[in-house]
Amino acid sequence: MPHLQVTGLTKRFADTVALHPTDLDVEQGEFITLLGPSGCGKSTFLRMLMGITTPSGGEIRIAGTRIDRLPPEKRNIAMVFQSYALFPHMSVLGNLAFGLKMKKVPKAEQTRRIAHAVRICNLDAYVDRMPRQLSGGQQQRVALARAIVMEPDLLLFDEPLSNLDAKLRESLREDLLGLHRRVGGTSLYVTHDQDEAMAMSDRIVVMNEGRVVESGTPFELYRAPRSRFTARFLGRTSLIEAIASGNEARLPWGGTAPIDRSASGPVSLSIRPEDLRIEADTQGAAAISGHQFLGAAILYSVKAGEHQLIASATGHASPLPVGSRVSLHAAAPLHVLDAIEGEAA
Amino acid sequence: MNGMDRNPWKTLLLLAPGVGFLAVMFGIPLAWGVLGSFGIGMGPAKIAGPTLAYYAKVFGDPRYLAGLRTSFYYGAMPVVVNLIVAIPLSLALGRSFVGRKLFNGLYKIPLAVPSIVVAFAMLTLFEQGGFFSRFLHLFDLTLPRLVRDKWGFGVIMAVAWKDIPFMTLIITGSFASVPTELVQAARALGASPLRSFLFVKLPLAMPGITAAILLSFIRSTGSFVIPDVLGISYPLPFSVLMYQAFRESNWPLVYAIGTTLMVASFIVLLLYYLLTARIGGRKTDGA
Ligand SMILES: Nc1ncnc2c1ncn2[C@@H]1O[C@H](COP(=O)(O)OP(=O)(O)O)[C@@H](O)[C@H]1O
Ligand SMILES: [Mg+2]
Repeated sequence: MPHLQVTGLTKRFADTVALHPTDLDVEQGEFITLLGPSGCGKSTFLRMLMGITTPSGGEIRIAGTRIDRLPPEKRNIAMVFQSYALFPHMSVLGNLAFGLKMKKVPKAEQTRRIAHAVRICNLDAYVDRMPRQLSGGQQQRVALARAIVMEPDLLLFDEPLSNLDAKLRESLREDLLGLHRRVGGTSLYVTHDQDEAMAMSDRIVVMNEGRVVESGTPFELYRAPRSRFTARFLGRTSLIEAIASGNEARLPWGGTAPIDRSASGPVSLSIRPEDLRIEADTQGAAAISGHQFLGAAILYSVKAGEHQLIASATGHASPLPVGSRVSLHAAAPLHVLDAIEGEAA
Repeated sequence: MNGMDRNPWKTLLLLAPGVGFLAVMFGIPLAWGVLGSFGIGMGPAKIAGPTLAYYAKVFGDPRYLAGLRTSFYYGAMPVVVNLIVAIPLSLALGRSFVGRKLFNGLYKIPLAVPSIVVAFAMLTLFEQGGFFSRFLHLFDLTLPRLVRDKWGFGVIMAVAWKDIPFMTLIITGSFASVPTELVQAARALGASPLRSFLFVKLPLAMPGITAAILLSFIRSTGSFVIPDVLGISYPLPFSVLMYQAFRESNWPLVYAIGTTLMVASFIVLLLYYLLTARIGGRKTDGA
């Protein structure tokens, strides 16, 4: 039995459907990310799990027990808010102790849990400070510690890193993950940042316009997305229409390339930059139209007929000049997307 | 931001009307009044030099001491009534319900009704022989004394009624300024709705509520028309006593009463601030 089991969870506001009926199973100890653009219903989903938004329909179970009718204080779930939501009139210690007092945890146990959370969140120096005396990153860690001391059945994160600068965001990612492993809980994480989702998750659930588009491990979703939406939202890709026959496809700019499953007729390909190898070739079918030198790699914009493609090369050689003619080669079998109804071809 | 705008003349020009108004309309009368209460400058016909005679009267005569107590009583009780009405009302107005817009307009009506009208409205309602007493008479019941009564029921109700919109406006604003997410975070941390209100929403709205309490208290303490019409004839609050002294052209006494009321109010405010600051300060430990 999955630890968290969501079936048909729905939310309608007066004139919008924030979440169409959605199912989700999460196993004990998993770190799951809901990934999608702003406004796709991620927060609404989390808030319904927490109990601070009332669902329009559906069921939520934890370890088999229905919780969707319980008020938030009766659910053993903790949440880290995007705004941190620290109580400004309480010290860090006051914030950490608040939930334990509300849940009438014995004093000795409170002390033990707080000491533990303070240690693993590196807050020793700040326990007596007020939230306004802390930097964004420190506030974020207090919010995290405040959730951890509750020892919840489920830990929810609503874009907890989105208010921090890029450097801090990256270092906190690892801290967060390390914490998740050490605490051993089950975490549901929400973000619109695909790098964050890829770096942290056991499994990613891709959402768009109030619906789950698809889900899978970061590797599965990156290498073999089923939908164009996922292919585009996760990393860079070139979406190309081609004609398949068997394990090969005829490419629109000429030539053929192996594909990752057998098909016949028109197919959509999602070609990652690293799937294309370019070679300087005066007779080549394509031309370099731009490049970005990223250090470890060079990202080329390549024009092949009327198609604009992205190809990457290692950063060992200096970039080919714009305008150079090149030939294109498949470095790996190209990925065939599912023909999904409703998605524009 | 305004590093560009360092012209001192401009600043002075902008400040001039405010400072001027304060100086002319408040500073001069204040100084005049305080000096006058010691008999200074009260004209050769009466007293020439400084004297404490008028303060001796205020602090020696039981009529005036009772007056000070009455002023505070008439100031504080409406605030209590007000809070009992305004806090739930503010919380209700922060939610959405059918007819909220209409209600939001209706409850502000007392702002537009002059005190004297309120006073007479209360009189016609609660007087012996007024509306309620006649109504109760139909059932052979007698209305207890509610205006010009010992406990100041009529005064308290009228002053409170007048100040409810003012109080509600400020308190609604204070509650609205507390981010919803903080209350939700409290709920997520195991607080019941009541506890999340008591431990998070209320303390965070407290500065606004404190301001509302103080302002309302000051307004009520100085109210004149309502206690004059609806109050019992002994003891009279300072405001009415001041008016009586004025009718007798006893200016130094008017000033002495006014100064005493002002200083006393100021002390009350100070005590209240210190008290709430201490309570607020203790809460922050969370221990
Ligand atoms: N309280 C609300 N009332 C009306 N519409 C809402 C409310 N909360 C969210 N929505 C709408 O629901 C949709 C999903 O919002 P949200 O879950 O916050 O998205 P996300 O967290 O993915 O950015 C949006 O279109 C948003 O405008
Ligand atoms: Mg959101």
